[in-house]
Amino acid sequence: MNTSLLFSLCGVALFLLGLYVALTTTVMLRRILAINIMGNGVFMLFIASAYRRGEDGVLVTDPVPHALVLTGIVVAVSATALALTLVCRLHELSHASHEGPK
Amino acid sequence: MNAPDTDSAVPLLGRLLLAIALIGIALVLGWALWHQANAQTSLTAIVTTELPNSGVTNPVTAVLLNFRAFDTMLELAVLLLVAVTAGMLREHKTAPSSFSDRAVESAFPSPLLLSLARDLTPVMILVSAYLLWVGAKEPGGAFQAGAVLASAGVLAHFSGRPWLSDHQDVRIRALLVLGTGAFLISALAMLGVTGTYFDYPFAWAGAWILAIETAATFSIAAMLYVAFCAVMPSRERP
Repeated sequence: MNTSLLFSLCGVALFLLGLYVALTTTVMLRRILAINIMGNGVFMLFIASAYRRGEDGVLVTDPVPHALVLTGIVVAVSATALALTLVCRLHELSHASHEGPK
Repeated sequence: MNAPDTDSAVPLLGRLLLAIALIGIALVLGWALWHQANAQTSLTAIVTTELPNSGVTNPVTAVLLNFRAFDTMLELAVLLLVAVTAGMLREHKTAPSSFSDRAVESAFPSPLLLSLARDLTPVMILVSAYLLWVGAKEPGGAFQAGAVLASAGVLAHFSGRPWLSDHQDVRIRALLVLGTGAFLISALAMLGVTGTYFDYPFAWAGAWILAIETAATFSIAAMLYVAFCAVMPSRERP
């Protein structure tokens, strides 16, 4: 059991916890947060997998997963922003339909 | 709209079965990770060999802006798409919602907030420029710099002096397109110079990467700011 494996397993746990909430909740905001947690679990697993011991026992980091996770974070942030915008819009529209046109 | 009290639509038995299934998946994934722990599937050697040809010394930046530049260009295209969608939703706002009205009243700028924004904004711009510059050698780069720059914009917005009052402003649209545009133009220019997309000649690879990253920083900051503004109430009431 090394650190990298521990972080990987934590990533799996985060992903599955997020998946459980995303599938069971009906609150939009909670679902968005759950999907974010799922994404973070994947990022954590990916980053942890980048740490490997080389042949000479030196810890080397693979920059490719790091770069991919950086790209992934940006995409996750923008997807979250889009989801939040849509939820706000939904909220506005449901309010407008309750109160009638102003 | 969903009521917060009835959180779950799934009955208890369904949730229990789901939890058991997820624990099963966890065990399978954990077992797979355990057996993969020492697998040699690393690209470190290739990146280290090619790093001197990339024009930067930070391997992550080299991967992002040189070896896998296509991915980063598509990432900026995703940002552009989100900003366009958020902007469209904002433009076609029908009725101001109740929580937005309350937020406008509470967001009355206090003198403390104003002076904080005035003092912090130059520092934030400086930090952003530093992060952009240091990205060639150490952790840092376009996204980090863009995030700091966007937070300066958010601070200005909260202190009642938004950088952007007109969301149909041509300048903000130009900033949004800048990142993807710089990548596309550089790809086409490289096609003319070296015959391959994203294959920078060694002599000016560093400068070229810095130029693209600068464009990307402005685009990322603009996108984050636009996405933030899209969920914030607009000040001018219809």
